[in-house]
Amino acid sequence: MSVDDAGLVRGCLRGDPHAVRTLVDRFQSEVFGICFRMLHHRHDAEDVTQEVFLRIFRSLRRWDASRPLKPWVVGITVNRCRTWLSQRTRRPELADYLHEVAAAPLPDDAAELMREIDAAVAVLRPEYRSVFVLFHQQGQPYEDIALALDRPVGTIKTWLHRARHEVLERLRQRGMVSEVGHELS
Amino acid sequence: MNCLESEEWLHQYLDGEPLRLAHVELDRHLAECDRCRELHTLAHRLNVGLRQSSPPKPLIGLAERITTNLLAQHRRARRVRIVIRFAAPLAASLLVAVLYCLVRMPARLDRPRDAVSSASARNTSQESQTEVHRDSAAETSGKLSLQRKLEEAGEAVAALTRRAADETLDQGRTFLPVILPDPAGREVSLPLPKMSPAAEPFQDMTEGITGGLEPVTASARRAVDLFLHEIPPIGSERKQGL
Repeated sequence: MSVDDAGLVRGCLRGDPHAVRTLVDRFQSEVFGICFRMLHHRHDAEDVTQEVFLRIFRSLRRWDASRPLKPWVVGITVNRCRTWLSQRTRRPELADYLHEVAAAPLPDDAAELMREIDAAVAVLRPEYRSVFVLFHQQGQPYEDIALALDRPVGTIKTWLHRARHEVLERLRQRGMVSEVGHELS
Repeated sequence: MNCLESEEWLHQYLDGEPLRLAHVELDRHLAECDRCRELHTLAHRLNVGLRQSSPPKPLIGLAERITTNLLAQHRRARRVRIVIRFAAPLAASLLVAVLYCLVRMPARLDRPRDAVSSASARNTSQESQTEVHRDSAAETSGKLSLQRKLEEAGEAVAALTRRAADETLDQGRTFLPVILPDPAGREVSLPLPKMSPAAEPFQDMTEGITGGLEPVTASARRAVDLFLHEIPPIGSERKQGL
């Protein structure tokens, strides 16, 4: 917990517009990134982002000041995304995100690889998907993910390993194995 | 090295941790195990693909919209808190006042019966009356206002009932025979003009209404009189030694 977090929360509870704007600016990218990668739909991601911030604002009084603010925000985001996914009817994954994920034009095979990775992540069960997105795509460490999802670090590692296995298996089924020799050593 | 160790090496690689196992042993194993070799190749491709994806950017203006919504939400919540802060004590006060009236009114209506039965005790409780007067001075003023209000309410009910009954009777009397005083002191009733057959049911109806309302108005008058008489005068409480 940082002094800055506590002061920011106090300002938001008072209704200070500057504090509210600071809170939004600080976590907007993180929240939107998680929503976008979990939901794979831009409009849904923006809607859920707004919902997440409303919930954060309403729940600020219940935030435990002895714990850091970011994992708490991430936890709310993941829960809202999971709720949204469970309520949304199954439909074919839309491809509108493909043109916006990469900052610069990519070679065709790289674009295809990213599509396959996203497709593989999209079919993961919610808890595996959330851990995979938080670790590999949001760059969060195990400890922060454990705090956000309120699970032990060992459980987070287990979920991530299983998620990787499933993603790699899907890539293998889709023929993404290159014929190049071993590249890791 | 076996497949389990090879897999552990793979997860360390994907975690971005320093690789603890020697590459030489790993290379030897991967040369022999097709499954692990394929798995490691895929992991490498996965790592490359994840690094190439950049974080998605929200539409411009999303932060402003969110901030505006949050501030509006804060203002609404503050208004609700203010209303609750004032409405709750007011509602509680009204509830207490209503309960007080409900409790006191039956007790006050029962007092006249108690006065009749304790008439014999009045003569023996003269000494305690002076003490009661001092102690209940403040209570008497409250009783006075309540008693006055009850009297006014009773009079208003009686007046309304009387007026409704009188109006109805007046309308009905137009169809009744008019009784004129006879100079000799005898009552003479003039016959009603013969009405057309079509109007006869109307005449019967009005007579029926008038006759039906007569007991109603009489009962209302009796009830009002009883109500007014049941409320004891202010001085009677002192005499009873209360």
